[in-house]
Amino acid sequence: MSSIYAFFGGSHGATSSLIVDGEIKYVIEEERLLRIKSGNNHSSYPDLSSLKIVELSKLEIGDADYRIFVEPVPDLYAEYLTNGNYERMGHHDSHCYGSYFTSGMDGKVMTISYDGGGEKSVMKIYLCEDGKMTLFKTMDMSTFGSLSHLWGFSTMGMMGWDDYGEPIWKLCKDEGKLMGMAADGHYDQNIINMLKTVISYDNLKFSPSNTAGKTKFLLDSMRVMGYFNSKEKKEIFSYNLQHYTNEMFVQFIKDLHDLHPEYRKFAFSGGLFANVKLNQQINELEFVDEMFVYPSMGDEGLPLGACIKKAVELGEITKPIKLQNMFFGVGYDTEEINIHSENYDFQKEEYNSTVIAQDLDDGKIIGWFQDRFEHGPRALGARSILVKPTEIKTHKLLNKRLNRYEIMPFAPIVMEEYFDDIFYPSKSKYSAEFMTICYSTREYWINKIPAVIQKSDKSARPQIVVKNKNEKFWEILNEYRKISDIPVLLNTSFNSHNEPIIDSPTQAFEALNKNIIDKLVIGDYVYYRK
Amino acid sequence: MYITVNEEQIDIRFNPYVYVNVLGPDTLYYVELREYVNNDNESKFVEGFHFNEKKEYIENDCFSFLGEFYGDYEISVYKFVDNIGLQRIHTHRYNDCGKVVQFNLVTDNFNEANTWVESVVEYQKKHGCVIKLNSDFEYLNNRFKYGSKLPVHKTYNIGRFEKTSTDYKTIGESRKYGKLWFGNWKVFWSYQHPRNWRGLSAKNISDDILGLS
Repeated sequence: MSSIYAFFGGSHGATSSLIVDGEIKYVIEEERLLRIKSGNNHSSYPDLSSLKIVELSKLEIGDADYRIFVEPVPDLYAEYLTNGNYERMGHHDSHCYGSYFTSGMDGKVMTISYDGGGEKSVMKIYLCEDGKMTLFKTMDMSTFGSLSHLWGFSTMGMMGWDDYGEPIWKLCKDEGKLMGMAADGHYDQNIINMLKTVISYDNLKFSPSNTAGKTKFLLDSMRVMGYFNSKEKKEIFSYNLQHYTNEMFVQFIKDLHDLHPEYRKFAFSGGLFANVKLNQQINELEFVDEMFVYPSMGDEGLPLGACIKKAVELGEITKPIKLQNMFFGVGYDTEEINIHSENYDFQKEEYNSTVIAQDLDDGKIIGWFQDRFEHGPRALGARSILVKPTEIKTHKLLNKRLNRYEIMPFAPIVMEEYFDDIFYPSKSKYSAEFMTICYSTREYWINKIPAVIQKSDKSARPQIVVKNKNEKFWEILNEYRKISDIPVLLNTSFNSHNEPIIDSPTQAFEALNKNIIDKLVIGDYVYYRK
Repeated sequence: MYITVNEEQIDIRFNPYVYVNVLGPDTLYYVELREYVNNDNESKFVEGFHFNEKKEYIENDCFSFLGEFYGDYEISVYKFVDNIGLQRIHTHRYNDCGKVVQFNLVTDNFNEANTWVESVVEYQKKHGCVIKLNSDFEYLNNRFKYGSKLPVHKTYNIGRFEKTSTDYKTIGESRKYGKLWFGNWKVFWSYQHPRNWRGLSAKNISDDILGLS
């Protein structure tokens, strides 16, 4: 049995991971410790995260059985970190192995990774069955286009550049803003036509290549021509960007299905699949029995995927597993939390779920700090902010407290037992444990939980909370349900705008101190201002 | 080489590397360089960016690609047209047939220079260009004195050139390993050499630079 370190760095998404004997021990994104969002730092290296894993695991990098760097590899840094003793792992291979082997799916599964590029390709497709992966198709960067680049460079180009030459909205960070704005736009054939000149789809091929350069040119030109000089115009563009993306990629999946109709399960990874609206379209296809989106679908998920691939090669992982959670980061025990709290003069009580549920029902904003912090872009119950979902005015309050843009939608958490009552279709629910797919909301619930429903298309991006996977999180939902008859809460990531999700108790206490939250549930205690 | 397409004046040069400029009347143009590798029907992307003469909105005032060795290049020039998007206004594929191509042989070894001349002649047969030869050896130079008054369309420097400070476009520390990265992960060793010449024979070096290998 083996210990495997894997790293990714030199661009966005620097991350370190460790698997021992086929078990995921740690996956830590550099941004969490560095406290600079990966999208604001496109040349980060896994310095702090690798040191932290060594500290926590007490396993020196040099003492591990294997050390892996994922492509593209920053050669000198990789030599420095591993003393020259490392192997390289393919970018899309890491994406695909990560998604398939954490999909929990049996039988035939088509696994697809699609992003802006790695190891000279933008996409790889594997045909998988019972733990065996067979490469079906590679799409070379020099001849294929990238929908990820369409989104990334639309995001940058829409807002333009500041006086220092920095994009105001950033690649690999702010694409969600366009996805959020899309909900309020409308169809415009002219914009679709213009987008078609930078990328189109036909017969299993997205083309032409260099979507990045062409999109940048198109968006810069459109911005200069005044296409984005009002909120409404930005919404219209975003709508058509989302519409066109859905149209192309759904046709691509249909064409793949025509070619391989026996594949009705899909596993996805790569930055494109951060687009939960696209994921919704795929999930709603009749022939898709189940889909799974790797919870850390961006490049931050590569090291874990690389560790998994190595463990598969070694025979230490043989079949797709189901993840219990994504809590692979740093955790703090009661003693450490107490030390962190010493600098503050807060009221402290033992945690009581009934009291907190009542606080939620009273409209309080609750900081939720439990377990080890999550790996991936979503707060899934370790570093979350919880609010009742019943009032739309919650948006304004939260945005003000968190200093966030209005356009960023909020997502619900829902008790597993009630998911089908509230959302549909009833499939891909394991993926929804990681908040990776939007679902339609049933009519009865739309007005009951307006704070977590996209007002235009009545969709939501729910996280299903399973009792035996995160009992404390499930329990607070259940207590709130007993009071309100609503088994749903609003869950947003525990961070202010433009910051990574928090790591330490001090950061949580600071949020309480600054009145960002009203109460902090941390470990087995509740803190609040006197 | 100036080409006029409608109102656009397009300046395309290959000497010693690819250079493109568009002299208005619009302010934004996008140029893309692609390459047909091994006579493939489909070209591969090499580099592309947009520019304008006034450096408004962007940093570049022209398009250039500093690789000096041979490539079966295709250059496309686009402009933005309202309600249409990117419109290709011109495409040019590298062709030096009938044009003067200068070959500078940078060596003081006669045998090596002679070997390189063989590659130059092979290149001439393949492409139909007019050879202009510069070397330390008058005997070799005199073989190709055609007295053409045409301007030099393209220059190839054939030699064993160390990487220079102008070989700036690298990603991370890859430079240590002698790689330059362009566009979509296209890799070559330096602006003069597609591959590292160390360990290559004299014939390999000239064939590499002239696209004969």
